[in-house]
Amino acid sequence: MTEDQQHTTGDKRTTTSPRPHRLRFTGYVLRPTQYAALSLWLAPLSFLALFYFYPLASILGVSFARGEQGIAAPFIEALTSSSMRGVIGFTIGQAALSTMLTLLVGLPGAYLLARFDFRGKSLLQALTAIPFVMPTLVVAVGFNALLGPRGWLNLGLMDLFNLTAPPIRFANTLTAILVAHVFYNTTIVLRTVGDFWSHLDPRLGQAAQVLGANRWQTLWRITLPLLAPAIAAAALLVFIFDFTSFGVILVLGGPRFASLEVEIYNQAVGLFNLPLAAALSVIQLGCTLLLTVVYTRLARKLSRPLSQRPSAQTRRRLIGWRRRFAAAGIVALLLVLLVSPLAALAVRSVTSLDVDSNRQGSVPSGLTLAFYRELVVNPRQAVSYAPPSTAIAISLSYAAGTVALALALGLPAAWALARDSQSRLNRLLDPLLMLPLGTSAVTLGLGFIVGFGKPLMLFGERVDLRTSPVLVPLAHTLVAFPFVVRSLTPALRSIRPRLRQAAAVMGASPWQVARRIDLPLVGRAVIVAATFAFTISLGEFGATALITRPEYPTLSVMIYRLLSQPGALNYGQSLALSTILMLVCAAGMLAIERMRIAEIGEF
Amino acid sequence: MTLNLLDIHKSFGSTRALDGVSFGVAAGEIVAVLGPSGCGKSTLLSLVAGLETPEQGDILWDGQSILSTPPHRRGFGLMFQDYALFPHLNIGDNIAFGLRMSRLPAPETRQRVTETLALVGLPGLERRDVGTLSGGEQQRVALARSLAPRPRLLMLDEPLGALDRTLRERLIQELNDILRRLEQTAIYVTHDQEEAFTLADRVVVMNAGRVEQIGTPLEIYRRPATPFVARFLGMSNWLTGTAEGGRVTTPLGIFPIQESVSGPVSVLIKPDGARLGEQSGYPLRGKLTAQSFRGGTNRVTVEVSGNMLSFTFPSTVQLPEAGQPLTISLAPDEALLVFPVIPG
Amino acid sequence: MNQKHILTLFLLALALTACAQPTTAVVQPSPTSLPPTVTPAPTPTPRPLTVMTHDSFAVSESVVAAFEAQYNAKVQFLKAGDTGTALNKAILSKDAPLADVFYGVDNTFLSRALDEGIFEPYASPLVADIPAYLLLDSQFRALPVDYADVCLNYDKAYFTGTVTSTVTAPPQTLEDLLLPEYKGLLVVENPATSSPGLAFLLATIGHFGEEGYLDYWQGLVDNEVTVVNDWNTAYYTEFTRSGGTRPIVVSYNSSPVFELIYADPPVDEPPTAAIVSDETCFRQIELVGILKGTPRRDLAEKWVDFMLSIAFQEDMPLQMAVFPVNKKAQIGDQFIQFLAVPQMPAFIRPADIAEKRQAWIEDWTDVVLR
Repeated sequence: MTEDQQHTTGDKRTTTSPRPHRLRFTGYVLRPTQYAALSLWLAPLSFLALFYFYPLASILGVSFARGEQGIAAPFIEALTSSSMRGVIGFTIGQAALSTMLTLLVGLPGAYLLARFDFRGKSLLQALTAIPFVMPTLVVAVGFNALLGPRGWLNLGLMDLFNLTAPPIRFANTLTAILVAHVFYNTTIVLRTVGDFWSHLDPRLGQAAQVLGANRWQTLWRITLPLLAPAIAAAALLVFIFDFTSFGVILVLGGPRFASLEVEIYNQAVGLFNLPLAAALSVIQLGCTLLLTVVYTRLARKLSRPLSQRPSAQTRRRLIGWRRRFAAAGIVALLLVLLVSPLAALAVRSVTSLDVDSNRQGSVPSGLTLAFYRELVVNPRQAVSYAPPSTAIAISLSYAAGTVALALALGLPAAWALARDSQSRLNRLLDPLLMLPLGTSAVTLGLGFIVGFGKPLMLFGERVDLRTSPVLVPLAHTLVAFPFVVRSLTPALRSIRPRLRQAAAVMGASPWQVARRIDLPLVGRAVIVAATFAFTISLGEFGATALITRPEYPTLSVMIYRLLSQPGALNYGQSLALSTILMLVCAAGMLAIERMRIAEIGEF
Repeated sequence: MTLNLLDIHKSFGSTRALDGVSFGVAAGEIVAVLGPSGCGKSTLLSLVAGLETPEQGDILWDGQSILSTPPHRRGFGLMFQDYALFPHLNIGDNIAFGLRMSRLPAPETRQRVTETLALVGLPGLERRDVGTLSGGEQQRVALARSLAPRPRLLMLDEPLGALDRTLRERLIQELNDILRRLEQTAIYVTHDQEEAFTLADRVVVMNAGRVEQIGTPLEIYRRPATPFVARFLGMSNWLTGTAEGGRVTTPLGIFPIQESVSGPVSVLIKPDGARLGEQSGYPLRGKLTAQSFRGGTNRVTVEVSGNMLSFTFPSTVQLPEAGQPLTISLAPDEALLVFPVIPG
Repeated sequence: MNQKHILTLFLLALALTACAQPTTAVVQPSPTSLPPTVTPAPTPTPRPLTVMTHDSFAVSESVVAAFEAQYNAKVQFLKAGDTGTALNKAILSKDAPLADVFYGVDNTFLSRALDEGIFEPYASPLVADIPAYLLLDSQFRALPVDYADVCLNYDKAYFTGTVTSTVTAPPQTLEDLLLPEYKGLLVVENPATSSPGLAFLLATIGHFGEEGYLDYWQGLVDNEVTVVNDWNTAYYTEFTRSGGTRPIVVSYNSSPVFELIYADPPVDEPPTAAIVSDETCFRQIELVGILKGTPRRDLAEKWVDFMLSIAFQEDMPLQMAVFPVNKKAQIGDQFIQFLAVPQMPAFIRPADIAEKRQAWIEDWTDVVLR
């Protein structure tokens, strides 16, 4: 034993520490000083303070000031009225259920994408990310084409069983909400967990198998516990998205369901009851904060340095009929849930629909490119017209800006978190980073209006932020930032400290260690983070709609505009434009996937 | 034989990992698979463990094919190269893992974990986090984990590869004691001849997916079957020659041989096949160019007619200074091996 | 790291933008002589004017260009969300206004805007051309620009009784919708989340009175009315014209004309029609006002005048599906031919709407959704 100890070069300086858990992440040769930690936090925190906390505080302040019975009254109303309590309960319940279903669908997919090489894999990855960018109104159209009263499924069933009424009722049901949430958010699980999984040492699972564990036991006792940090991160993100869901609840859930976010909108916009809206926003934020605190505690407990493998070493080809069969099943599930509504949209965008109301069903009367042709003319010479190429360019510019900004802010924050997660500063800050995701968009939107009443000096120019296009990538970054941090932190945490120690011993400065060791090792996670930022920006609507000058719209703004007018041609054009949005998203995803972070190669 | 590998083929993409490998392991026997890295040793273990499937060939246990048995039903143990300890479980839970999989009742499990930890020399460390272990400790825990379920066959994949020499030498001995005490049937994969020769009843030498030689350590050392085996064992005194009628003609002279070969041959002079002086056998005169002290032996380089030859002598033997002339004599039946040169 | 790639992406995006510009020029059929937004300025710097409005705002570029040329102005439109959101933003920014003019507040939101005091009174000379009943604010803090009638629409083909349906006549009154033959045929929008939904609720309140409307809605529920949250879902999912199962939908009286104009393939007459019998529709009136504190009051006045002028008024129907308040403005042939205009829409005073809206919606929710 004594000899062993002489040769200990392990993560811990001593093997006889009385409190080993305290030492888990502190075994650096170069322990960042408080000063270094603060300097890492400087940019991300200033950003959040200026563009999140300040506007949020402004609007909450203004809102509560409008209440006549003091600040407590709206909270009492929110927590005692049975309808408000119903809303809160429903919001939490549907979010929990949606999250579970999303994990159930996403985890097998993540496994497939992480562990196997097969033809069409990058395409599948790109396709499954598209839902994330699609406007709710258009998604509703897609689901309707499949599951609506005259959707293909109902028509088929009616034909098959000679029914007179559509057997499946989809719109305005809880099922619709759940299915739509799975549709939107499965990509979060695929990307977050899939990336982590692809680096997990397959020998741990093999060791379990040799020790007598069957596939399920291996999954349950080894793989899932090791994936736990990534699963927890994905579940948190999915839950918060579902928890603050607005469009899905409104459009697909129908009037019988109201989430907190919908209720905040109703109170703030419909009834101008700003104090109550503010109270609900604070409750929503409180739930997010609570959840995030629980998560960060858990994540610290769950994550441990793993010996990561280059994903190229963990992947294998799909061999054997059983494996292929299972893979085909997973792919089919993903295609049905995530891709079929999109495909339905694309098909409808090239189908001239001659609806004969007296017949059961809409009868496609042939293929047409008319909707695409119409897109490039401006029939009414409206100021707000823009050709699709302009919209694509504008959407991509905002997306590129968001990717750059979110990575520039997210990397240092993730670093600070991963390097010293026991520090008091980090334990305090970590949960705060997630708050923008859990914040009511309606409230924050109004916050920007109230908060930035005076023009700012940016780069030597007076900019009224409320009307400046700069606001768009800033607003998108608020949403993308937590995703970037959550994608990067687990990867950075699982780098063995010994690697950093080795580099430091060889004379690398902390900055060089970061650049030469950490960054190449988490290259894949950086890609994941970039794809999140890209898709978030491409799909975001609210902030874009506010700032976009009518003649320079983004794709989603143009889709919305077309959909808000009656007429088959407008409808068809909106579907055509949605299809273009899908293509842009898929192309963007494929392009980002192709990037390689460092010369060392992907790890 | 308890375990029989019959003509196993396995390739990854265009790389042939195993190309017709056959050998057997008897009950209670320790077989070492020795070869350079990339020769297919680890793949072999994966196949026996059931983690991979061979493209061709069969694996028999007690005469029955086990190819269709999944890894968790084979009842084998495998100790991975860098141990693959479960980082989310403490030492006790790591060791208990296999026992729990076989549904051993909890009290017995606990007892077995305690016993096994004592066996590997780490008593009482059940609750320690595996992240806090040194390399040697990890190795012991990994061994304990694979031993605890009492596998029918234990496979060890370069178990001492990552450790320093002193530690390794001690652990080889300990491992040997433990395996012998348990009469454990085992396959031990290594690239280190010392480990293989110390531990194994028999050694299978592999190269590029093929078996080069199977035999006891002594057999292999005495009579390497191929130039590869000889080179791999560190034998480097090669001469070219021509064999005919029980004799071989080399640049250093003509020697009698036992092999009945004729034609061009490679001649190997084994490093321990020489004696100092001229008392017996065939004398060679040369100049001592270098010597290095290796504990019990001296390694000596001698230049004989322009050929550099290495020999080992017991360190008790008095050697001249470097640069001084030296006479050695070879015992042809022990010192000389000839291998026919395969054309092309 | 991949800053290089991000840069590439940026450049790509810029290149695309650059490419897009010539396309704009090529694609635009330019029947007007005025180039779109790059009017050569007669004097060095055009004065900026910001018009805050809702998402649905649209205007022809030639019309705006004419204004910009005449007053040497550069007009920027700030679309701040739906009507309610845009108004909230105007109210919350009243200490540091985002714009000079706010357009788009309607008679259901007017009281909120006036109570919050975001507008400066302006009695435009063009007020003389506007019918008195549309002048909702006697102090001229907000002036009407357009109106649109929220009416029941029906799918004509459904009521020809050819294949599956036996009903051959569309309903004529609100009461008709309670008849058994219209069971399960109507889709309406939720007044809490949709402005046509609120308008239709107000129509029923106007017609049946505060005492009677809830009973009426109970009748609609018994007759299997479908409620959805937004106009899009009602019109593009539930309505039979788009493949749904409901041949009667709450939309605008202009919708049939748009169905004609934007038909694919082209048709000779609208496939839908609006029901415009007395007190079945509710008239939404949109107003414009000068935001308090504007430093460009003179230009803002000119813009208000401009919105009330014939040029802008005649441009509105096609761009925004709303109709001119200016008596002298003409509407297009298609509208003259196919637009059904209610003679007597249901009426409720804006002040009453502001005061009772929440209670009405809550009561409605209790009856219809619970």
